Amino acid sequence: MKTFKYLFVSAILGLTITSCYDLDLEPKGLIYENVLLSSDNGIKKYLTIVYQDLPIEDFNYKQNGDEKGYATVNSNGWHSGNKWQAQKGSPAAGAAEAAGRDPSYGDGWGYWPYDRIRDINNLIEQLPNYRDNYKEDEYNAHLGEAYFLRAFYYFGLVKRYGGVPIVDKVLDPKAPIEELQQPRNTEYDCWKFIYNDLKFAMENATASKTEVGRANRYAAAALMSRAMLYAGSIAKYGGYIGTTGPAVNAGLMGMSSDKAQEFFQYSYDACKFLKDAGFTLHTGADKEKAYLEVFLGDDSKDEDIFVKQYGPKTTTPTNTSLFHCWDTMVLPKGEGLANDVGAALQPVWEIMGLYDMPAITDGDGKPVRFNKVEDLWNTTKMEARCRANFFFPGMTESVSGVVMDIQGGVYKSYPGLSSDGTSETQGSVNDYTNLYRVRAAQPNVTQTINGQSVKVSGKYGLAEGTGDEGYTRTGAFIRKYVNYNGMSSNRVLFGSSQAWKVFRYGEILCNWAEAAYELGLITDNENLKAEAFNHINELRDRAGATAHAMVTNPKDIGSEVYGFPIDENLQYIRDERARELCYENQRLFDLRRWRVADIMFQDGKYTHTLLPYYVLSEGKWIFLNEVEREGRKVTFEKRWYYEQIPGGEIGKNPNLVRNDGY
Amino acid sequence: MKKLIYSLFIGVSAFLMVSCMEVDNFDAPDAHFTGRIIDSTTGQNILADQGECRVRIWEKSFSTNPGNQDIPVKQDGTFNNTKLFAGTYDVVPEGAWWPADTIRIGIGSKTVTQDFEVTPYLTLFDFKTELEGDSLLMSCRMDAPIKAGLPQIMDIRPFLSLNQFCGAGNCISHYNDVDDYKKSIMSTWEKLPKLDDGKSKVYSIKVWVKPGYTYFVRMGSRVKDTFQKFNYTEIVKVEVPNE
Repeated sequence: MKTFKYLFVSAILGLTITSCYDLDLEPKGLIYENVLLSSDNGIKKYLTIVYQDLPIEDFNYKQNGDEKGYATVNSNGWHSGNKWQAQKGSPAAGAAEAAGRDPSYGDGWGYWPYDRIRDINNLIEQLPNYRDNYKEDEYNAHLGEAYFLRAFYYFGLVKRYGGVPIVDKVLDPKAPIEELQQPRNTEYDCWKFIYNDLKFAMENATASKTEVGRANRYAAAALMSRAMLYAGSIAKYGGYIGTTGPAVNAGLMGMSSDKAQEFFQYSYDACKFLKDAGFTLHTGADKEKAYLEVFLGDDSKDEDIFVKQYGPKTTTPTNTSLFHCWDTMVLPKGEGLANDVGAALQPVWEIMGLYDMPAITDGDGKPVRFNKVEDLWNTTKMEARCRANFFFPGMTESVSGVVMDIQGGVYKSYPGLSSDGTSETQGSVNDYTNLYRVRAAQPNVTQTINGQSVKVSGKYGLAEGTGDEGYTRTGAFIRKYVNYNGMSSNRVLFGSSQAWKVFRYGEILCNWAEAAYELGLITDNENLKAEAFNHINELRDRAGATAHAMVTNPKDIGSEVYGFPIDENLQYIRDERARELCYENQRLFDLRRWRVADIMFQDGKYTHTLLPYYVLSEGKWIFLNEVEREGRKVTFEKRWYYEQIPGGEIGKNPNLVRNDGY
Repeated sequence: MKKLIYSLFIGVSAFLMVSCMEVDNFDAPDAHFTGRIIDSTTGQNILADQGECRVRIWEKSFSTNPGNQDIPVKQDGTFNNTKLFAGTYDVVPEGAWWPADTIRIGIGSKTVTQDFEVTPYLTLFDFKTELEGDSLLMSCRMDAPIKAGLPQIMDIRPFLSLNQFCGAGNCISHYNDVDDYKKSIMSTWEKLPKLDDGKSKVYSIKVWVKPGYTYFVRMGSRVKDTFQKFNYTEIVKVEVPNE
């Protein structure tokens, strides 16, 4: 027994002594820079995750709620989840472009992508070692690509936080902690940094347009035109919100207004660069069809500048969200239409009413009578772009052949004004509506009213008792980006794969008009202002809308409401931008950079409908802008003009000054 | 057998000795910081709404860049917190007044009372209420103690409450939703319509009230500074008789 014990103990001891391996082994299966950076294919592999994590507010971007954030960089953590409910927290709801859940900008989720910025800095620092592998222009093209990507990341940061630490070299993790705790740079320096990166990219990135999903000098110019427009507005309007404090004093939040001209000029020049490069609006004889093709056609090479491509769920890698759910989230629930969810995001009158369309209220304030619901859109009085952006009652969805049967209800008679039936309460319920209005709890309901059997609710809305998804509460559905090329069986969760147009020439014209007009205001140059309206009318002509003449002595419509001047021409340019870029996740950021959102949504604002009602006593149809029946209010807290620096980052780096206003 | 019991006994007592750790509890924070916000124009406590304005404190002895804590200012203009950690704090009152200085105080075992004298942006005076049937007419005028550099005056509103707390955070929200009930002003002091004594004109708001209810009402106005908190009139109790 004793020997056994001794043997046992010595065996254990022997094992423990010799088991101390030096685990300083190279992991197998890693590819290092010497392989990656020596060819274009290698660089593509190296940059895959950088492209994937680009802060593009696309189909999978969620502003609020669970998993808010970008597809692969969101509140759930790095690269987690495949997004399916992005439309439920869409920024369109927070901008009163659409009715959805969570209609606000929200407090953000702590976007701090310095890991990707490090990857790009590493590429920029290491690439010179592999210069011999490339021809001169290929080498410059790769550097230009890197600068474009870095500027894109900084744009995502600066538009949220204002001044952030500018890190333009690879930091050594073993450096003393004081070197790693970088302070925030001023907001002005950050926008200039983005400008310098994009300027390099515009001059060096490839001039080839063939890879539309890859960086080239045109994507850089498009980002320049967008980012510099943001910077110009923040310089011009930032001071009006009246926020003061240590961060503002340090230049971390806002810039002096004399900087606005510089940035508007950069934006203007970038737009001109793109025109000279040959980009044009995609047009056609059938303007409605041409407008649909801008987003879904094979052939919009004329307008596409930078495109994010998706693929079918069956072949794309997991956790990359390279597919989306757009169709099933915006179409109504029904055979051939959305198979899951349905109508999580639906258009509201605040946007629909901006387009050219027949008047729904006459000069006396009474609702206009229509013989058929189709008379609203089946007329030259409605611009083609409006028909292309929305499914109105009576329109046919081309893939399924389904007619959008939408009806708000029945009015036994309507003796009064539009305002009688559209009071500012949830669902617009009041004594008048209680007396005359009949609505149904379920879709596709027929009732007997005054002895007549009459249809009260459409197959796809309005139904009072079906919750906030599946059917329309507002009288229309979103049509933009709904795929008419695929099969209706793709209209399921994760079944959509149409591309997202990150930059298109339509946006460039919107940017150009705004930059030109703002420059015209600053330098008192009427030619620039007139040029702005040339761009606006180019957009309107493509859209099938009537041309708009600039007003020579424009009224100031801003001072009374917002406390700072906004002339009616500028407002028209902003409205045209709303019409052109609706549901492209721009409007919430536009309202924010114009510093109008807090007053626009003060005390919370309801969104309104365009619901058709059948007037029984007359046999005609009217359209009413009621408060939609969920009664969600769009809000914007003043502090959201700047998000707060993520608390976890302040914990690591006490040099990060917090933003004021919180 | 005996050996087994003894070895078990030793083993168990060894475990027990190791597991008898001290209960890892710190004392609950109990430092007491209290005071009043004094309106420099009246010498009295400022007219406030419960929890709207705040005294913001940073515990500098804990960290160089700590997060803030807020002590809410109550309707009577006082603030009180008996559950702070003892330490050195930077303290500043923030609300509907000209920015006050941040001061550094130590809060320890004794109660620290700190009054802050602040100058409100606006003083509302001549508050009158007139009840006619189910219509309540409220009116007041405003003045600015410091006119130079006053941010734009945004609006003036009625606040109605069914209990003694009345203000922007304690009111019947319906009165915020009706356009006629709030008056957007959006003007600098210079451009504000004034009467002969250099103070503002009379702002009147007529609201509908329900017979049989007792309301506590006041009016408030604010300027476009960082916080956009309201300066108030006093609260008046209005009993609406049954029809």
